[in-house]
Amino acid sequence: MSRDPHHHLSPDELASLVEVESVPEDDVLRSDRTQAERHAESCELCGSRLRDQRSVQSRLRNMVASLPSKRKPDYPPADCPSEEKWMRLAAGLVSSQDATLLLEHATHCDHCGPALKSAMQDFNPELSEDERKTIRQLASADSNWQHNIAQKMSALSEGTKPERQLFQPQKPGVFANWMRWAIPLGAAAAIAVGAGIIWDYSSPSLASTNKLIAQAFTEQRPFELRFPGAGYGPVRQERGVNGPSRSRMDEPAELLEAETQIERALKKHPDDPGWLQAKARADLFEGNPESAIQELLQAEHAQPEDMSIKRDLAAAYYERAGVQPDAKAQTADYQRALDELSQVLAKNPNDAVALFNRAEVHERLGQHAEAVADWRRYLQI
Amino acid sequence: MSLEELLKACAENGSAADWEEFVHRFHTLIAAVALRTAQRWGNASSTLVDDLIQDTYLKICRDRTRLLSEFTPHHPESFYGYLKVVTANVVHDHFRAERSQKRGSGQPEESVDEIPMAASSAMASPTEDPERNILLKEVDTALCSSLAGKEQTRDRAIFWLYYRYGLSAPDIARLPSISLSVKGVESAIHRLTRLVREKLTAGKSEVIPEAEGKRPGKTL
Repeated sequence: MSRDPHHHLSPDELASLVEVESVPEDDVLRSDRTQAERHAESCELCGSRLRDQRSVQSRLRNMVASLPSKRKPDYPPADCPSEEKWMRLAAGLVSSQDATLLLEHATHCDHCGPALKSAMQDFNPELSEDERKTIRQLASADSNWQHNIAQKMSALSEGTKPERQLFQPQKPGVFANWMRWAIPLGAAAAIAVGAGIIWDYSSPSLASTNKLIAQAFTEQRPFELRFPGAGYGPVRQERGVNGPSRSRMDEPAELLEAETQIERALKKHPDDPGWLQAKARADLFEGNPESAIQELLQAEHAQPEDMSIKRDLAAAYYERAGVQPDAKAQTADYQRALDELSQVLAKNPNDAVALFNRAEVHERLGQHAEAVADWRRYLQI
Repeated sequence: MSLEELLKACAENGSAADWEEFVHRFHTLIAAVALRTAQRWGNASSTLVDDLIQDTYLKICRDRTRLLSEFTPHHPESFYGYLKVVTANVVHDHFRAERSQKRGSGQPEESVDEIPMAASSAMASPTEDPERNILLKEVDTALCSSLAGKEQTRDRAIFWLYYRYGLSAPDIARLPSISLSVKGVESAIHRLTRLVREKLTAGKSEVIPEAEGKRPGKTL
């Protein structure tokens, strides 16, 4: 059916002329388009509208062209989520809520948008023919190679049996084996109780747990701030968003061990400020600043004079600031971190960790003179 | 053997046969991610990719207690996601370590065309490209003024990921929280594009008197 040449182009007709490349074409549509095109050529108003819309369309298409076509992974700017975050999002490993927050950031960040795109491309389940061919030609595609690596993995499994195996079912025979040791062990325990020196295996000391966490921080320093007891290490992951941000696969063994100890201890003493603080530290390591803040506030309530809690609270605010969706909330969290650290330093002016961390926070707030003053003071200690 | 059974076997016993089955099942996935990620860093020689694949398997083996904890029976694809992230991390760590060694040894670090993204993105930042900045603002205003409710965040994300960063519709559909099929994403892009075009051109041309655009008189 032919269109009435006396009618201006409808929005649908205009759209069909602008989106020539994106809309599949059949004969009827092609004929409609030709007629609409003819009308636009002869009608000043429709011609002008068509040109305007085509111009907008072209500017939209060129937006992506203004970014580098190939990006190389790198550490993100300080206020952006880590590269790992984008990988986890692309791999479908974040909750829908976190995904929404991350997407909101990515859509307006010329570092993170491309980072997400790269991760999506790298994790695309579809393989091109070239990729298939390359993979087939790898030495690792060979069955002998695979057999050898399986042998290595088996040897590694033998050599380092996991200390705590998850989801381990009770096997037949285990009970019998256990019974063989139970009687003498029971007797020994009874003697120990009698002597008042029983060692509660399930409750290791808080100090040893904190030491494990400090070791984990040294091994995989998750953020720029210093952590008491931890040695220097390069920042492995700068930022996390609310919710679990680190993959469990990358957690150091020390942290897993510490988490087990914390879990056991908190079951027995849920309000113990020391264990709450340890739990918060583990949460901080895992990129859960929100949980850490709650635990630390609870601990602070119980021990308001404990400066180490305030120092950790500052770290938690600092971490949360990095994932706040807007600048106002971010500044507010940095300010909270600053307040906590200032309280610590008012009481202990030579607290090196607090000084270092406060300098970092000043930096984030753009208070460079104050940051320099703290750095200088830090170097003098 | 089901995936869960296999992971359990690897995590608990880790016999050569179990691991061989594991390697057999996941090799293509791990190799693909290792290859692509290494390509992104500019060196995907087959020897290096094989080494990185081996490192990935060894890392998985060392952390095998996590195999099962990363597996969710109702959401088995999360395990594939886990393997992808492990592999990509192994590759990134390798190249980052290599780069930091270069820095430390005084060797020439990188050529000009290898400027890290953090630097290059800063150069392309909207604040330094006023024309692009204006367009981004105009488009976002158009989107915000036309979209409402729950879908506004999702639709804006779809639009920007597609136009600003060039993600494809299938890639966008795979993102959690989008909750749309590829067709759904394509249709959203189509709808939003039209909306933006109409908003940005509104008022530029003379307003047509009637909805269906009855032409004024004899102007042909």
